[in-house]
Amino acid sequence: MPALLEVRDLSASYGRVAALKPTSLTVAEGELVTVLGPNGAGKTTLLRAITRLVSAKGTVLFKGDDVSRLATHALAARGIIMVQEGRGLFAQMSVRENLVLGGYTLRAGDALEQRLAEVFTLFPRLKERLDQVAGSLSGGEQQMLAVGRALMAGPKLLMLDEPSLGLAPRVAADILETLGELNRRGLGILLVEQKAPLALKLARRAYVITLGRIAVELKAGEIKSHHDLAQYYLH
Amino acid sequence: MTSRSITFTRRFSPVEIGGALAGLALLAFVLVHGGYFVTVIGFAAIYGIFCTGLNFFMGYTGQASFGQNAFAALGGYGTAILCAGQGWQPILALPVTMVISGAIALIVGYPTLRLRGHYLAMATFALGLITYELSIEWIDLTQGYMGYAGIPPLGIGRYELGSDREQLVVLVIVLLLGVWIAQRLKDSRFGRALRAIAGSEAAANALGIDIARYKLAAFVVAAVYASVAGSLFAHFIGFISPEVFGLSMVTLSFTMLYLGGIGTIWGPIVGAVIVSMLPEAFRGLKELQDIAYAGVLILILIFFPRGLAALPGMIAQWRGAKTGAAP
Repeated sequence: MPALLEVRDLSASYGRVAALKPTSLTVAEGELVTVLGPNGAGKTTLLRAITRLVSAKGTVLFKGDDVSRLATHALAARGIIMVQEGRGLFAQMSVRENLVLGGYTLRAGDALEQRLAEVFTLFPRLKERLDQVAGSLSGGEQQMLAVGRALMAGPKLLMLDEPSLGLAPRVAADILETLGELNRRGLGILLVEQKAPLALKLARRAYVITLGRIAVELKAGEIKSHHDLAQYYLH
Repeated sequence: MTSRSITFTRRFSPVEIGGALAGLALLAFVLVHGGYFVTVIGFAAIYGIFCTGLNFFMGYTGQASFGQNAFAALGGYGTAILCAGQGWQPILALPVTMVISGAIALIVGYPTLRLRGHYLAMATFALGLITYELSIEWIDLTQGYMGYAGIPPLGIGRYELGSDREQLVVLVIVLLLGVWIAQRLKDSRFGRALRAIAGSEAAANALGIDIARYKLAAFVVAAVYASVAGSLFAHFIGFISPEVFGLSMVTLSFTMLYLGGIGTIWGPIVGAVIVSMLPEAFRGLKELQDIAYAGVLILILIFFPRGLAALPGMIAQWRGAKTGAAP
């Protein structure tokens, strides 16, 4: 069976600055993989290159199909959905409108209602905040909304860029716990995080990325202690 | 909490009801009084249509166009040439000019809308200038500086809307139809996608929204509204010249949009009515009128960036703060 996501020699640059050197990684069906690394290592660029929010060279296979030539919106229609760093919510719109926009690729109203109900069981708080403007939510609620909105799209692969950013430790742990639950239900997840200990609790495999390239790949058994990772952060 | 449907329910607020009554009262007064007021409110209705269209592109989608007057010119001159030159029925010329304007917007917009921000603003600005020059230079077609006269009023078959008052009623009906369509589109999947683009292009794109296609669609919708406004102007006044669709149209429409409240349904209409009546207030200023408009625009942008439409919310907030209730 082909991998859910296979990235081969993907690279991207901003002008003449190479932000991501040729990088390869895979996410199997139903797997939760995390990408760790310090600030500015190229983690965000990696996700933006996969989703074509920046122009990139290299190959991206999704369930065995070459999707390297597809535009961002076409990738979303295939089920590659990203929660962006800083959540990327529509701050002026209500929680409801944000969620409905999440289900943009769905055309039928019934499917929308059903997805919405699923999101509410996962994040009951969002139901209470339905008519509130997204920008007025707390940080944790905003992250719930960002994840909820992504789920509305019915992702086959969910990619998240630092979902714990700016959240209290307890709230961050709750969000990541929810991601673990989604993964146990079979959703493939690619999680980019700076907070290694949180991410490593959930992940089966981890890539550590520094200076625009993958420095090391860690299997579950190899992750003895996150102190070992410190060396990659010291540049 | 009771289970709630995803459907977006709407109730009329006191402000909306009050606004509707004020609008009706104004219309009744103008129809009874007649004369110059009819022309002023007729202008307001025509500009209301123009701004409602522009609002799709600038308000909901958050893009900039300084050249939407080009499509009003297309509508106006198309109507003049077809009706006065070729003897077409107005009711036939209107949809034909709409289709032509929409098609040209599609062709011009496809390459232009790849630009963003300032570059898009400049490119659309050029579009308006080119159309303006063409309307002056292409004398065989447009009669140049002298303008195109003898355009018949709206009508069907033998029946023509003879009086200004009858025309005004039709203008208001077309305006309300335009607003109704805008309202329906704004709350549709299409409208939400446009507003998502205004919120964050990257986020909208990542949710599956084809940015380029929706921007182009908003541009075409705005162009068709502008074209209708241009055609109605030609019928209403019976005469057009390049100046009618010149740069002052851009200044005026921007003032209306921002004064009324950009991105809202009724804001552009309120703005159009107020700005159309301003010349009366600024009459003493003569040549300084344009400067007065620009001054008003700058003051609005600084102190009321969301326009009059934001006032009810601001008042409610102020009241809430005063009584100590939660906002």
